[in-house]
Amino acid sequence: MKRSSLKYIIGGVLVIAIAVWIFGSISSKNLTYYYTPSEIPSKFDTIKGQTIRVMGLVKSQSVTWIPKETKLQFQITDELNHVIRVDYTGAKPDMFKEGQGVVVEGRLTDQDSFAATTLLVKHNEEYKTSDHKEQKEDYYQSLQP
Amino acid sequence: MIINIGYFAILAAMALVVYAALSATLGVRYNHNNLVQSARNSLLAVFILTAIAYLALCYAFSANDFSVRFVALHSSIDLPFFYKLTAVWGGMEGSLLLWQLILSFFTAVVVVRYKNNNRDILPHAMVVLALIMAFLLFLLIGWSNPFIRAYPVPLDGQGLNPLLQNPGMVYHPPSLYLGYVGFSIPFAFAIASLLRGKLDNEWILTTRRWTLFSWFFLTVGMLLGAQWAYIELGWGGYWAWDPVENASLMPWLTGTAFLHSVIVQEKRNGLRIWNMVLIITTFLLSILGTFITRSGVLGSVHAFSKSNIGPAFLIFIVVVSLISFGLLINRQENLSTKPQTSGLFCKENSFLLNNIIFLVMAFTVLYGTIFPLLAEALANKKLSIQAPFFNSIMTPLGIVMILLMGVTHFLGWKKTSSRLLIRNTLIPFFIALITMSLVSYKLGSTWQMFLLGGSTLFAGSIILIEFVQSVRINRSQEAKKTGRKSSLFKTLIKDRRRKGGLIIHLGIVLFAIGVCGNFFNQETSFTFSAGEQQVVDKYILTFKEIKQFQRQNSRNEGIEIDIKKNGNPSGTILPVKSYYPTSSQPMTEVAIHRSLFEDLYVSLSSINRDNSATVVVHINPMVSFLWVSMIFFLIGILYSLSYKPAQFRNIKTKNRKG
Repeated sequence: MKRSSLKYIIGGVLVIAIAVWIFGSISSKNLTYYYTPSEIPSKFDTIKGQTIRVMGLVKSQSVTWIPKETKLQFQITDELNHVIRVDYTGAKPDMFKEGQGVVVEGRLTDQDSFAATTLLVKHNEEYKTSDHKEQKEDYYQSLQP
Repeated sequence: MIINIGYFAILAAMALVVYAALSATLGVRYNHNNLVQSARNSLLAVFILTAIAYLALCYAFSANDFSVRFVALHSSIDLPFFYKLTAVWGGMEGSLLLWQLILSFFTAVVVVRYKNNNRDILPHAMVVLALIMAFLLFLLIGWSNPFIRAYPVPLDGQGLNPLLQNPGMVYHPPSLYLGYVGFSIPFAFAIASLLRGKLDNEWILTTRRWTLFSWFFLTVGMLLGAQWAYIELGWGGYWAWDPVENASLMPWLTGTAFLHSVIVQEKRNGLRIWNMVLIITTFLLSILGTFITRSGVLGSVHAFSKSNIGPAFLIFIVVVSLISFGLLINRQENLSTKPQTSGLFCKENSFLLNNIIFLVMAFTVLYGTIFPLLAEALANKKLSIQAPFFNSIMTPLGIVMILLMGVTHFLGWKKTSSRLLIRNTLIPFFIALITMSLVSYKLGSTWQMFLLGGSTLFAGSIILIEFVQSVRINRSQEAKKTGRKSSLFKTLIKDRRRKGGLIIHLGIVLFAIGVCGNFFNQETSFTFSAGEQQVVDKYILTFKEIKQFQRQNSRNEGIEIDIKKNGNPSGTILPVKSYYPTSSQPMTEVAIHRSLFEDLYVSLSSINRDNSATVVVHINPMVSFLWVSMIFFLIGILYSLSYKPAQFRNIKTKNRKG
């Protein structure tokens, strides 16, 4: 191995090591984990200070919307029926309604209450490809008298 | 009937494409020119057949033929005619057909145009292009067939997503596809020269214009997409590091690196392996981009395996990677050149750094996009990587890139006189330093803003100075030659390659200024009733009244707002909510009060039961600069395209003499 190549190789390895270290630290700081409402009680102690995302459904009859202060309050739930109260200040998204799938990002203020800074409503999947098995089943169904 | 013709056309195209690949291969192997000619003719026929299929699909849309499942899913009787035609690329199957149409057209252009030169590698390029088309046609015949029927035939279609009924969505996908497909041509020629073992620079010179052309359409395609997102999605911004957005950014990064890197091969015969790696990666990333956007892997990782498209794309990517990189590794020794001794500050090293940084950027975007998908697929852990991750890494890298973009104009090949370098960069440096210090003092800042703004001003002043210098030199040259003062027009059209590069870089500077505006964004939301007003920064918004009106296929409800800017009346805006019968979701039509240096962006969130209205207001400085940059890209690319490399000038006389 030539002496000049050795210089480049050592330099290259150093640069890559630094890059990996920077990369790793930035990405771990910026990972936001998703939880369902039922997962929260068991993990509360570890996640209580972190910014997390909670995904679930808007519980029926739980929505309060005060336009004058743009304050929204509702309960988010999942199939196991565990409920978390969500407080959000800001404009109410278009598709937001009871029974809708939502994702909230923010912090837990208590075992069962959440202060949301971002509210996302599940949008329809325009880009999804058709499922051919489903198509065939639908077709056969449609042939039934 | 017409639909059946369309499907048979695709079948025939598939057969011909396989024939062309075989024929060209055998023709090269056994040195039979007739077989190569036959392959050439087949590829021309493939274009005609694809065009027939595409027109058949267009006809189905225009005739409201809902017996075609694709039409039923993406169109409706009340859809305006114009959007019926553009709905072709509103779904996966139609998009693939458009992709195939563009690819077959470009292939036809290649086999006609390069009939007389590139004789050695043209057949190989034809094989590569034919095989890519075989993959697309294979999907079109089977798993992604736009011609499948729907039984029973619905009376009306499901309609086009209202979000797509917008002029921006009309131009954005075709422009992107022109870019993606355009890069297939240099890719095909690169692989062809590897296959043939003809490892000189001819393929670079031949495909230089294709690269420029593709870069332009990819860039403009992305900007149009950003503009569409800004106007249609209504969240106040234009780029969210969304996986679909990232899918188009990745090939742009490596494609731009390639565009610059080939200059080093052209002038100094260097970076040859880099260029191969970059064009192969660009091609793979554009396929990967389509895969990410269209395969359903984004809805849920587990949904991706339900349809066969996802795995098909993945297998294609893996096979192409193995073959391309395998070939490259195989021919490696023949490609690499002895490193030329040069000083530290030289153009070659600048382009090398350019390549490295673009590659790191592309990897960062890839990592941020793929990591959540992998985490969910392998560890069943759902997580998201948001804008802060991308911004922390891309901003510093972007700052270095912009600095490079400025400084490289003053670097020489092989080495640079440091005295000259300092002298040329001193004034731009101080312009940047003083301006950014003033801005920071008046408006407050972060280090990112200071450096990003500073480097942009630095590069911008260099480019402007260089442009003026270039015109001055042309003028004096003309004066010396002809003995009299030359017209401004004549000087503007001289040195087109250099000027083209300067103008495009100026466009990048404008784009960067637009991005810097983000540091000063403001957002607020509030509710007010008719007659009330609200103060936001330098604007006073007065709610005048609720307006309800009908458009061709939508019922609309909006509020009229009077704007006062700095106390002076400044017009009226009308943010609206549109209700389409074919969509359960209302669409938000934002109202933007534009001026050169700032956008007042108002989105109607809801009209409440007591007739008060909740609005979200954004103040976005410098956004117009982003859209204006597109004009500079257009002018610059026209300049650059009009330049003919010296080797290709007088080629007719060369052939006559030889």
